[in-house]
This record gives sequence, structure tokens and C-alpha cells, in this order.
Amino acid sequence: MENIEERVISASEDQGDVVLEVTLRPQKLSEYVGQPKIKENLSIFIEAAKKRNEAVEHVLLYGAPGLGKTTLAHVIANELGSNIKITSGPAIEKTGDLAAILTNLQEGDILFIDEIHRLNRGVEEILYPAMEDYALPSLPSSALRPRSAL
Amino acid sequence: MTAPLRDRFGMTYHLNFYELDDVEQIVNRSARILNIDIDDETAIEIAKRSRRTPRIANRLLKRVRDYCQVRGDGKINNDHCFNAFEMLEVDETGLDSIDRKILEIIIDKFNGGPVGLNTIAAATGEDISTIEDVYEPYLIQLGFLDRTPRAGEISLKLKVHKVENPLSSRTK
Repeated sequence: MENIEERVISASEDQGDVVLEVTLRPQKLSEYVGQPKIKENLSIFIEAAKKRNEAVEHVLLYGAPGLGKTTLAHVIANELGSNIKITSGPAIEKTGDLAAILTNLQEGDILFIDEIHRLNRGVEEILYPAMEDYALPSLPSSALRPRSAL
Repeated sequence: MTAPLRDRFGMTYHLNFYELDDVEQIVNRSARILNIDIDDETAIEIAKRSRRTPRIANRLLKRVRDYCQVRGDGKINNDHCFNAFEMLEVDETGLDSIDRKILEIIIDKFNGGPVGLNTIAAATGEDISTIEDVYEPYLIQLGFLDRTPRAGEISLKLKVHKVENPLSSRTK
């Protein structure tokens, strides 16, 4: 392992961050600092979905590591009063894995797929009908972490 | 990410790097939650070094707190925070020793480049993926480097028109 001090500027998550971020993560949109446009947009769509008592549309969040994609996903869930299930692209190896996750979702649950760009193609194709037809009462939201920020 | 998957999302949001003011607010908020006594100047200094990234800002805050607890009286003051940054080798732009090494290699050894990522990785002793994920995006974002394809390999080139030598204006 490299000297950790040298990597203090790395935006990738390390072990200490996990504990820290759980404590520091804002729970509501009003506590979230920065990203004003995204917050405004989200607050409107969340409010509208709540009024209609519908699920929010699928949300794709992307950007460099450490900028708050996971935090925003949790904020959306909190604002909607929904449970959030967390998984990641590389963790879903087989189509069966995804099917298991989807069938275990309750109505109104949010599915957060981290690193969704790393889903394999076969699995991805199972996700399409679920997303389109709400064949399952799911509400997937996901974060994409591109390799490079620009 | 494939286009068919992207098309199936009703809402797509790109998270940008944060404004300096926002990072400062985040540092202050985190300090409050963690019961860290911090003054405004220190919060600004941490924000400046955060690469506009909340995760890095929070991590720096934690490291500065640790330093002040061991070397100081537990209260964060400006002197201690600068000593901590020096120990961590993070300068006022958020560049660390590897960033500076990359710039030095491109400027001094390769006359501004282009230099292939393989060469940079070998010269710094870092993985190519670390160079690409951690160092290159921020150096490009700062306008110090350009990314150019050369003979099929991704290469980095100094933006000479913008900064002659970004290191020369630095104290370190």
C-alpha cells in the first residue's frame, strides 16, 4: 500500500471516508450545499411526484468521484420517504442477480446502481424492460462514475 | 455507458466541481457536525486545496484536525493548518507531490510534451489508471495540461500558451 498521505487529494473513496461520509451526508435537499441547478430541478420533480403520488422518473447522476452522486441518491430517497437499496454495476454479475434484486424491491423503493456504466451488456438488457414498463414496481436511480472527469 | 441505457433515464444530471464558496460552507458544516473548532480562514484554506471536491475537503479537514490534536492544543489554528498542509504536501491549488512531479517531468524532461501516459506512469512510479483517474483530470481542469492522442497513445502536453511553468510561480 502506498503512503496514504500522498493520496490525500485522491477523490476515490477510502475506508475512512465511508465512516466519515455517513456522518456528514446531508439528509434533505435543503441541507445540501452546492449544485443549485440540480437541487432546483430535483425539488420540483420530487414535489410533483409526491403530489401525484407517483414514482419519480429514473434519474441518472454522473460526474467525477467525490462530488455527491451517492449523497444525492440518498437525499432523493429521504425526500420521497422511500427506502433505498444500494448495489453497483460490477456487483451484478449475472442476469439472475439483477432479477433477484428487482423482485425484492417493494413498491416505491429506490434502487441505486453505483457505477452503472460497468454493468455488463446482458444484465443491462434485463434492466431495460424493468425501467420502461415498470414491470416491477421499482424506481431505479443510478450514478455513473466516468473514468475521467472531462 | 451505452446510448440505449442512457436514453431510458427520464432525468440526467451532471454534477460539476463545486464553487469555492460552496466547499467552504461544506467544510464549516462538517466541522460543526464533527465538533471541530475551526476559524473562517482555515476553512477557506482547506476549501482552496480541495480540488473543488467535497470528499477531499472533508478528508483534509479530518487530517488537519488530527494534526492539530497531536501537535497543537486541539483547536485548529492557521499556523497548524499550514504545517499540516506542508506535511501532506498539498499546495494552495490542491496539487500534491505527484501532481508536481508530473508537471516537472513534462516541463523539464520533455520540454512541455507531449508525453505518453506510459512514460509518465513509469517516471512517477504510479499506475496509469491512477494518473488518469486522480491526477490528469484536475491538471487538465486547471488548464495546465492538454490531452492529445499521439501515435495511438494518450499523451499529456503542457498548455504553453496559458502557463509557461505553473510551478515557477509557486513557493514550493
